[in-house]
Amino acid sequence: MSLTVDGFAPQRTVPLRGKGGTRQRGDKGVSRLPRARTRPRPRPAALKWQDLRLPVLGRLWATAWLPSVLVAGCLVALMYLVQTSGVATTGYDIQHLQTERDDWQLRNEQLRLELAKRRSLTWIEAEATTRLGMVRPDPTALTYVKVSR
Amino acid sequence: MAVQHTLRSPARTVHAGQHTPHRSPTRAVHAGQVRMALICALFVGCGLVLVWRLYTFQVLDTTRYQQLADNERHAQIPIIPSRGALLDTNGNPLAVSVRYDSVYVLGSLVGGAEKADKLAAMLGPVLGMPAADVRAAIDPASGRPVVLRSSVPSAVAEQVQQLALPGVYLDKEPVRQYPEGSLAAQMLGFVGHDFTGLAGLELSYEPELAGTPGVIDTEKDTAGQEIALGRRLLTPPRQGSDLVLTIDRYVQRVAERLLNQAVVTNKASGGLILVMEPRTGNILAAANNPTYNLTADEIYNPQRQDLYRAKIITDQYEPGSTLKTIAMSAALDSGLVTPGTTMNDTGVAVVAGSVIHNWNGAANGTSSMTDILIHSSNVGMTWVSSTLGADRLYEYLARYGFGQPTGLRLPGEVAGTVRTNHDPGWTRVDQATNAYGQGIAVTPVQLLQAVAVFANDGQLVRPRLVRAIRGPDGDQDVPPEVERQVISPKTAHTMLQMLVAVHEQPDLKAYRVPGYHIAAKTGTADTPTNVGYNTALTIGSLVALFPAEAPRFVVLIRLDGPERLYGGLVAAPVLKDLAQELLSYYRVPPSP
Repeated sequence: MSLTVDGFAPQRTVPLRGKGGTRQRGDKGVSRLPRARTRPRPRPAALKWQDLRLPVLGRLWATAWLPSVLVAGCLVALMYLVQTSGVATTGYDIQHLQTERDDWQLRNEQLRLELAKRRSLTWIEAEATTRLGMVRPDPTALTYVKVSR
Repeated sequence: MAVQHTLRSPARTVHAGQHTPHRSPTRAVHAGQVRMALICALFVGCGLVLVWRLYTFQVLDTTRYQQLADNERHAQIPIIPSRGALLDTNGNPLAVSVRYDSVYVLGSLVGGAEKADKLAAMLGPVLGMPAADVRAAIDPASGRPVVLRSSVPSAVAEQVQQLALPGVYLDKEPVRQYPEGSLAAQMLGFVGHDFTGLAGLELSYEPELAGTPGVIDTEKDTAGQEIALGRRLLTPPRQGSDLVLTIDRYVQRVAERLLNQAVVTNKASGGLILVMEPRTGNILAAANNPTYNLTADEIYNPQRQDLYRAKIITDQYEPGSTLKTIAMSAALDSGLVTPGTTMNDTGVAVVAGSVIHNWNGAANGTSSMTDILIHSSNVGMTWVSSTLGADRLYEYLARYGFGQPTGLRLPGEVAGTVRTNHDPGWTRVDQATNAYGQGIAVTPVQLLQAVAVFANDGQLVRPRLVRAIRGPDGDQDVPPEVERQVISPKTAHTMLQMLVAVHEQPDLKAYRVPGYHIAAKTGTADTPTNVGYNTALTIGSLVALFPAEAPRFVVLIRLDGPERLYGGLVAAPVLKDLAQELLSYYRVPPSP
């Protein structure tokens, strides 16, 4: 880690052991602190893509894991967004279709009623007598004929 | 990671000519760190406050805020079930519910008087109304919706929707429609504005017809629309069941036509015709006059409440001589008389000091039991009732179902009035008069049910108006119900033969139906008043069963207050026409 304070440029950078970066002499609290007497714990060596002992995928992972995770996260978020948006759109489509279905059902009901009215005896009789000029038959005109089997 | 702090404190600004005190870099760094700590503390404090508020919102006041949020977006959309239809026995609709759009206008949303004028000019032709009428209905200052037109066909509703006029909107409402017009109005009944039954079958079968409403428990957006991804809990409605009636629309129409003609011809105040299938108890037709108009905009008129009763079960009347068939069958079934048993009809009988005359004052001389029915002799029936005895007479009347409701599921059924020898006020005169249908009150359905016993080998079958209920759970048949054996099959057949003789007497020759035997009995009952009987105001009636060999139909024809007083004169012609129509419609072959 490098700490820079305005107006106090680092005079010398002392490399520290391990992967901790550099420390400046002017650092507050660093220069005043007594040097640690305990021996720092050895850290495991980080994977490097140049390490030829690793397989190809391993080398790739060692180098690109952070971007990969970010890209994957973005993809997941995007997919979720697309899916959510799709579901919402479909939901509104369903609502619209339901309304349309209701309208057609309503029209169907009204047409059925119209059909029933056209099939009613009142309408048929009125049409037969007024428009077609028909007359009511004489009930006594019915004759039954006995047929021997 | 590199963090850069730029210190720009005024203490560090050096002005020209000003003495600058020496400050060590270490102290300056220390001041910056203090400030940083304060800022951090401020942020942490703010964060803590936020966390605390979050805690109170999310944990402590969860219920309250959840309730507020729910109220904000929660919506319960009721699903109104469609009311069941009333169908005739062949499935033809007599009463159905159809949804129609109603066109409303909300004056305050129209946008002023000028826009209201334009709106009226555009909407008037679409609705088929004069623009002036539409304009008159719109009050631009009013915040209350006004119905411009109800029951608008869907094609018109679509045109209104396409106009997209501000303040005009549509609302779907169910409307009860009667494709056959006012056919069987008193049986069907009608519904009120809240779509609940108010009379007739619509009232008595309300639970079956109405169904159960459902609800959609959902969330709405700011526009009041349902949120597609929101919570949605559907409680489906239970649709109303259809009633398949026993009424045949053709028979009903014929009965109504003949009744209306008879009422006019005989200058009667009203009347009724009942047609029933004796074997099943199916009522094929129940015509009433006067009745009401089901197709009127406003069906109910509070001043004419008598019209809305199903008079076939709510109004009792003295049946007159048609009841002689019942008393005679009781005497035959008891084995006390046979059709050939004779008595001397002197034209007058004295019972407990009261004088009883025949209807025409005639003395018929030696008369068989068949003659008593043919001449409709009151004196003869007085003899029969005295032979029968009070206990047997009233026991048979009870077995025939008089004095008890028939159970026909229509609102307001009465039991009729039978004063027996065990009731206070009863006298021996009652026993005599009851035998010929005076001093006893019955409903038309009771009489029809009793007479049908002759066609059913002596069994009493309960009349019915509904033969099946078609609901969401499937069809449920209403089977015919045999109540009890009233008389023996032999007595029933004997009665049919005696009644054929009655109908084929010379006086009624003009009213025979060629090729068919009809069993019938006419009746004329004086109208009871507070001071005795009004002999000038009668009820002329007739009961008939045909074809007599195996009756398919039992009929009651009644005319109230006819100009020609007697049942034989006013009802017999109607019977002839009705029988001819029924026999040809059902293709009943002639009697052998």
